Amino acid sequence: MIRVKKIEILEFRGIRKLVIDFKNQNFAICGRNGTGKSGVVDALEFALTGNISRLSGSGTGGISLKDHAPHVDSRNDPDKARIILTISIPSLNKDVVIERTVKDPSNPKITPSNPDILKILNEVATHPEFALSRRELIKYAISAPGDRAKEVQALLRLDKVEDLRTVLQKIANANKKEVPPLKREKDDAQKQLLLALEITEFNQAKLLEAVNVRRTVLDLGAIITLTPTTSLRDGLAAGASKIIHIPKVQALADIKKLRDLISSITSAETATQLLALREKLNTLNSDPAILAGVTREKFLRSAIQLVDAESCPVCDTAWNPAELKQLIEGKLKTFDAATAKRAEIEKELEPFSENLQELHVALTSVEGYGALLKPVIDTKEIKNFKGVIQKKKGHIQSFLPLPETMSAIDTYSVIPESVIGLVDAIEKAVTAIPDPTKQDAARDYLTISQERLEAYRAISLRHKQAEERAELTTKVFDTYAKVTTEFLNGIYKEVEKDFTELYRFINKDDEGGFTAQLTPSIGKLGFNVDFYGRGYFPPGAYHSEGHQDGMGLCLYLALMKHLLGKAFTFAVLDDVLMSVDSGHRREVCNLLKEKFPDTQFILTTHDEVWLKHMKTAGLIPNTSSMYFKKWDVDHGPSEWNDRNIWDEIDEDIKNNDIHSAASLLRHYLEFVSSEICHRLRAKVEFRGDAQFQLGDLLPPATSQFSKLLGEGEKAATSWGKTAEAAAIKKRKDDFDALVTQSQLENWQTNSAIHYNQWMNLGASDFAPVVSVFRKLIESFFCVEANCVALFHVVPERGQRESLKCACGTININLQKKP
Amino acid sequence: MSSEKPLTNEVQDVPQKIFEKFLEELKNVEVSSDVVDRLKVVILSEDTPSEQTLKTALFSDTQSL
Repeated sequence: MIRVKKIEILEFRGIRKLVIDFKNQNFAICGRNGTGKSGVVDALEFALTGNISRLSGSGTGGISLKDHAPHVDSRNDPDKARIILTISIPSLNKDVVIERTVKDPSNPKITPSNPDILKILNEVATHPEFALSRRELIKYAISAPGDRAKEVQALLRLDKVEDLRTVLQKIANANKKEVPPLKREKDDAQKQLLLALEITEFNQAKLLEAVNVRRTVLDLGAIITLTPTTSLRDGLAAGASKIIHIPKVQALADIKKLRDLISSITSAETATQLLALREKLNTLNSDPAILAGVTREKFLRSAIQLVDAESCPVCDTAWNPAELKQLIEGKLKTFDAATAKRAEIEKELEPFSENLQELHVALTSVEGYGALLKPVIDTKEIKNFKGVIQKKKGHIQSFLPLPETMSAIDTYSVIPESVIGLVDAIEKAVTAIPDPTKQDAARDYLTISQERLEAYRAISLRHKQAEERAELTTKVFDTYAKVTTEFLNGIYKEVEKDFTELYRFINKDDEGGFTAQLTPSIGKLGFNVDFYGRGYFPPGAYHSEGHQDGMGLCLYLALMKHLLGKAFTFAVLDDVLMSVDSGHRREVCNLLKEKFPDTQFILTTHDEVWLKHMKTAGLIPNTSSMYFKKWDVDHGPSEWNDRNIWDEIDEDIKNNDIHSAASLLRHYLEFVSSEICHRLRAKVEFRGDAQFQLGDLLPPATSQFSKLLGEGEKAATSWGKTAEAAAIKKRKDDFDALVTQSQLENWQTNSAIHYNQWMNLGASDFAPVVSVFRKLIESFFCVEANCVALFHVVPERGQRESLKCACGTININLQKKP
Repeated sequence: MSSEKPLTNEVQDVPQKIFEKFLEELKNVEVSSDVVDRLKVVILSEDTPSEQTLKTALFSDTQSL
């Protein structure tokens, strides 16, 4: 996507005015905590995205970009707080300047501007993860699986995928829920139709046979085929389509049906069944443990139905439906015994609630006849009883609270005398109605049957449509879930492979066979790593903090590589990897340099030695760094570009601060000697406590370098490369002369020139010492401006083959002609 | 890196790729092409498709809820 060339920061965060020339290459900013490094990271993020994550994430209540991004003295003038960032876009071969103010963060001035440039800048703006801090890095490695999944999903922009999944699942669930009530309604309508048709089996032949008997009575032609639009009363006069009198035969059949139901409900057999059921309910109700389990299980089952929405239906608190569902399902597993018990009793209760529904339908039919009788029979008691039946049915279906279900079972067979009396009265009045003629009975039969057939057809259609909708939405959701799972599994497999490779690279000394497992599941991303072949464990279980830091970085890099591919051209690593030890830091530098050669890294660190590692490893060119020495609110960070240790020592000498100059020289020489010994494979007297002093390191370093140059000269001579041999010899002679000048060999015998005594020297005596050591140390570095890295022996182990620098300008063969 | 998949210059739009694969897969599970076409318009053009627009896309040739 982009690389950064230059940034100008004005009145922003802790910075008053600062210009940094990144030179389009890797760059490091070093400074103690509180010296303003993060202000630069914030400025980069703000210039590219219009936002500052650390001012807008969780836990930043009361802090806002507009109020707190400007320098504290310019907080009332956000227009002054501005960033001018010059970037290059390699794919377009263009340089672009972005100028953004805190006053109007959404409308940066972009020069030049065209759709191609804007497209790329928009892509950058949607990827604030180009900046990674240690806090964020840890989130990838050792956070809980649910949190990690969120972070990774956010990085891969999967929020939209999850949003769509939630809505599709909600639609599928809602449509599935619509089917069962419609099925029950359809079954009821069918029963009513059969009752009117006076048949017991629902099929076309039986139906037409019964209907055609009545049609023959009325001299109407027989119906041969039943189609969805067939009218059973086809041929009857239109005016007779509504019954305004009581169809005696049908009414008596409906009353008989009601009486049969009442007999069944009040029978001795039912009483026995109810007693057995009541026993089971009693047992359940008297065991507090099982009862609590059943209660909680039922509650959790209801909850799982409600978590389709994005927020709690009670308090509107936002939640993650997938995560919550998984949590509830986990809890439900602990109620297995209660679940089995409840399911068994609920199954036995089902026929009882179905019977109550049938009783309700039958009472409704008979209730209707009361209003048609002359004189009218008041059926208020039936209406009230129907209300009671609905309540009982509801209690039985709900199952909980148990006392209500038990009460419904206790009163299940109770039919009020007043209702029985009304049924008797209606039956008596209907019986008293003169018998209809055969023709009238046939006409009533066809009319009522047609009415009920139409009702059945209507509910059948609704049921069929609901089933189709449920099937479609389930199919759509299942397909979405399958595609998403397969796709994400594929991504995670690739990331897992890349992560393993990267981590092995930085830990090849002790974890060369390392492997890892990224395991996605609904709403979670498990992450287990191999611990020295002893099994897979979470990263935080056994690995050291330093290794965990390394894992976080490697997982981040693997994800970015997958997400951005070749467009991963820019990243800011803000004080990450502080826990990584020096040996592995070198490998981290090599990792960034070798595996991501096209990515520009802007690194911040509060550790000067870490910066030195970056430089000597060739990750950061010597001229591409900046030190923040101190910070104060009035001036912001005080810094100087490309801090040169020698300039600082000279400055101290000039100020006659020999103590500081000597201390700085000694510490730097200790650090750089250690690096030289490592890179030249020098033999250093081993110390178990690793407390090497300058005297332990510098002599082996110079001795090894001289020896290697000698070997190089001999090798060149053996191959007949006379000029090359002469050049190497000159380099060796010059170097040996510098060693002599430094009087290194005399340290042990002459305390007057020992480094411990440097701070007792005067300025005029110390300056030449510094000058010699400067020349001596610079001899170990490549002089090319773009390299300035330490020479190193290749390979790192085994037979020495060559002495090289990072850029390849120096490449001295160490192997003689056989 | 030794990953078999070559790096591309394109930034991966994971959601877009998932949506496209999903719409393609719907045809294989016998969802009508009309429904797929309507879903395509909603899912690929709207930033966050609402429940109602998705329902309309799913049911407008049968019966709305």
